[in-house]
Amino acid sequence: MLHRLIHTANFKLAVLYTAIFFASVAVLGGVLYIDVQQSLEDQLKDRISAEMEQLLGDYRDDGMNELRHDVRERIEANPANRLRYYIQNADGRIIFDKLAALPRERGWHSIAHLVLLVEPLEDGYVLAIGGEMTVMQDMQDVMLHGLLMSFVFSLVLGIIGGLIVSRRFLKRVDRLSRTAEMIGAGDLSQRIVLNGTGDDFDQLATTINRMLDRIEQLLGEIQHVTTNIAHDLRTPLTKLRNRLEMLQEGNPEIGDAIALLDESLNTFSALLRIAEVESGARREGFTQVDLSLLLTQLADTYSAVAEQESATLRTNISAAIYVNGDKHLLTQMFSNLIENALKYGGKEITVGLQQNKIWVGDNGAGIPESERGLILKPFYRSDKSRSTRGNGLGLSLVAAIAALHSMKLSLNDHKPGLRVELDF
Amino acid sequence: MKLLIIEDDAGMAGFIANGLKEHGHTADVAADGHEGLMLATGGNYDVMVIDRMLPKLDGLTLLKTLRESGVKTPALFLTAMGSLDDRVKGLESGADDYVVKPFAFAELYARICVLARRPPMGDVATTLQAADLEMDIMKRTVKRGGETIMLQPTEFRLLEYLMRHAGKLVTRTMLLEGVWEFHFDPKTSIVETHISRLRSKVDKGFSRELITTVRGSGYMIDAA
Repeated sequence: MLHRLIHTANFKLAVLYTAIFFASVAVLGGVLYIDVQQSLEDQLKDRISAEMEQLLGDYRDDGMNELRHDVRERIEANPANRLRYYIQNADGRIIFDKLAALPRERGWHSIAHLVLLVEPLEDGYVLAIGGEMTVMQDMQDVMLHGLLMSFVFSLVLGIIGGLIVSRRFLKRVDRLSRTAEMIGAGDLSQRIVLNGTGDDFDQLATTINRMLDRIEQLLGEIQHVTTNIAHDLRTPLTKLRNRLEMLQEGNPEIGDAIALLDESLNTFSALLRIAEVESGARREGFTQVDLSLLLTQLADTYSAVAEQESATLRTNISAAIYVNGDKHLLTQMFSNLIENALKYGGKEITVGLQQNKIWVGDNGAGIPESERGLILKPFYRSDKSRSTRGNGLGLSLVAAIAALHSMKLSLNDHKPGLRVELDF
Repeated sequence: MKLLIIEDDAGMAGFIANGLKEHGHTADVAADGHEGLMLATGGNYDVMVIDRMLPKLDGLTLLKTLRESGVKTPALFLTAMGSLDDRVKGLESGADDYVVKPFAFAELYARICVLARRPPMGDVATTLQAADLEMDIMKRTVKRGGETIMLQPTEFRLLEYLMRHAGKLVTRTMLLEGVWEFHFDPKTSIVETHISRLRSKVDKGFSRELITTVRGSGYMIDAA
């Protein structure tokens, strides 16, 4: 189930959305981060510049002593959250806060964690005010953490959302494929149920339903035509047969004519039967069929026929195997297979039934592999069978009945001979 | 026998009626569903032969109406609709037999005769008798002149079918449908083979042959 969920188009879409969401969160975070950092730096610089201006004003008015006094005052007033102050004399000694060396050029500098504004004074003195950037480092950590958390959240939400959406999607796909399967199985009255929301799925379903209406209508017409042909053709042929029968008395040639007529009528009936089976309509009347009993009875019936043709029919039939199906059609299918084996197969016929497998084998000449596909087609007759009586429809009917019962028909080499297998 | 033929095709109806007259029976013909319904309700017939496709009232509805109004006359559908589904629907509507066109008259006639004096439903005999042949259906034993005959299951079913219709002709098709449940024409001589095996057990050693072949039509077992 999970495997199917992950492979749905919707889940893939959800994953893609999650990825896009991811990327946009990352870009947003990055931009925000740079922006906030910039504005924090600007704030710090503004503060430093303002301080510098004030100190320089005092220095210009009252000289170095006043400057020193001011600085000391500030350090003492606010020891925790304060700026750093440095005054360097001509010898290079730094007064107040500790720093290895002070750049002498006027302007902004960045040393270790410090943002530094440097202003040269008179007599080789330099004043510098610095601000710690550790605040910004903290902020960076918080933001990175936040971003990571939102990544994890969006990933989890994306996957859960994707699973939920694709489950809903799968449900509808399942409903659609169940309907399609029932229609494929011959129940043409089935239609896809709409959600009533008019979404893409409903639109698709409506289109498919319209198509199904059309197909059903066309098939109905074909069925109707077939029934009419059956009726319209059978009635005159019946009259013909009746006439011939009345004239038959003591005339063997008319007897032959009747036999010929019956043969064409048999071909006709066989074609109609194949059409009936292929339409899938018989599936409605499916019941539990005791395959073991059915095959045993058929084997009993045909072993007598085999004996008369000096052949033998052996069985290997497991007990109590049931299948859901049409008993009449299954009887006709097995009968066709056994009769084929008797007619073309040789002198040793085997009929077998095991769980999920039925086979009819013979020890005759078999069928070359190249012919095995063709032989199931209507009216195909191999060169060998052309000389014998038959219409070439028997195996087509077998194939149609097997398909109706979802049985897999295969023709195999029995070494020697042919082995027809039905897997179900 | 007095029969009712409900068939819109005059030629077909005439063919059946003539055939029946030749065998010494009388037959009325109705040319459409309404006429058929009227005659069937009023007249006292032994068997009805009904076409499925009829003008005015189709055969299926006609028979359902008759059965609902309590007419129990045995009915046989004669129809060009030969699919398994059509057959099931026909029998469900209350028909006792179903013959698909085209048909041999002998086949139709044999089936009509079987229907004519069908024992009423529910009355199922457990022993059957044909001349000096006795069958016990419950004990699955067969005796002729007091001597037990051993039969294979298929042979037993075949003999049972013949004995149930003792004294009447049963056709090859009737046997295929009744004994083997084959609703198709097999390519091998199943019926002939099994009849000959059955004969070798039932008739061999007896001066009188009970199972007779009616040439070109079918088989019959003597009733007495």
